[in-house]
Amino acid sequence: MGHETNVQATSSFHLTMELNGDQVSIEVNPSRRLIDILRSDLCLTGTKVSCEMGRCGVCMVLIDGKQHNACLTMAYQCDGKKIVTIEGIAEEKLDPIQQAFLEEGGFQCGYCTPGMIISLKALLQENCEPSFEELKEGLSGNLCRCTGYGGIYRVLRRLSCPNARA
Amino acid sequence: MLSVQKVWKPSNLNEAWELITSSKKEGVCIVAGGTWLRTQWEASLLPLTTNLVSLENIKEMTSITESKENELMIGSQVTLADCLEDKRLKRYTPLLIKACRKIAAPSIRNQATIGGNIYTKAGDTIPALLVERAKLVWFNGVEIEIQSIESWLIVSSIKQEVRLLVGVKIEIDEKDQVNFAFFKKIGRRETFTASLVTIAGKGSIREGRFENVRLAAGGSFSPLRLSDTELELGNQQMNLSSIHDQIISEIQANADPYASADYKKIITANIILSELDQIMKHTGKGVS
Repeated sequence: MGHETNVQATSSFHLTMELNGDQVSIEVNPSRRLIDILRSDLCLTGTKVSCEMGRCGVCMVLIDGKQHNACLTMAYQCDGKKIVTIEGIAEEKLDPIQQAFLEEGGFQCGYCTPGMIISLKALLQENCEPSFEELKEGLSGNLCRCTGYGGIYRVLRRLSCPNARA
Repeated sequence: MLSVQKVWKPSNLNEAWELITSSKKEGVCIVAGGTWLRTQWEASLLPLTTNLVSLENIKEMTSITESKENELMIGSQVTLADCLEDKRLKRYTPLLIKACRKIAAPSIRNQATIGGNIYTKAGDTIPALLVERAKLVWFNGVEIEIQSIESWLIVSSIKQEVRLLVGVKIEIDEKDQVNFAFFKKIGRRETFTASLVTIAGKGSIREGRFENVRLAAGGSFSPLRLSDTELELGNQQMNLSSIHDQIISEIQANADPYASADYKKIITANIILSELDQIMKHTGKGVS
């Protein structure tokens, strides 16, 4: 730039983030989409890709505990953040949200399911006693083209009951 | 294939201005949340520039503050989700809260900013901000400039903006003689969708007469304050049937692949009329 400012420029961006509990450092273009970093660079393909414009929610991830569309998030926006993908939701035992999707038949092809689980996880972390309507609103950025939402609504009804969230 | 060489994070307005002006030749783009910009880049509707400037480290642009002049200042980089959580905004600007709640989905609201929503000139916060008589705070490289959002919308349609949007100011008026307010967004489906028509209104009604009414509309057409309709509503001889025609004549909607200009005008007039009629019915006087 030729100007004396305190600003740092980065041409080959060094991204450091916590990903599913592990520290990750990677050289990427600062504008590279998080979805491409996850799926192509790190081979974490649980996070899906579809509309690529933030409408469908299949690429949903948690960034510092809040849900974000990985197709709209750039590398530099993830620097120093905690990222959780569907692979990091549960280790040995399934998360109650995952259990609910399995037992209530909340999916058909399953492509939208990881994104839905992430969205509901974010909501339940903020509100431990959500109503059905609050859960439904929490899924307003997630589309399903198979189920007609019947099975997904069964999941939401179950998650709105206190005993099911244990 | 999208590529960019540099991302810059200035720590104050002067640094940001210096960066933007000195890197114009190479190409420079200011990014807030990037939720709208990213879609434009992917669709090749806008070029991805060599330099990206993120304003996330500039304090006055990332916070909501209350000034001594009884004004709330919302930094342009404040996310829509943060607006929804702010107690002062909930108390003093319920219309803006309603608007933020109707924009996109939670994941987008976690990243998208109020500045970005305004800057598109089509955001759903704009009708609410018009009704709140909001002022935009700009940095022109030397000093701060204040401009009403209404004036900016008119000027920006003919002149490209070169200033930095620092934030938006809303006056807190505890004595505001308002006893009704409404916000409605009409889209093509119930959930996350682009707006066909967005309306906002605020005012008071006493003994069957409207007073101090402020109306605005936008969505899929250039947002505007409905000043002539507001005047007509204050008329003693006013009846709501004539208001319908007034709204239709005042709106300058354009057709798009989803709806004709006439459809947008009629829908806007119908919704505003419906809201006003309900308000009148609550006070014992329906449409005349």
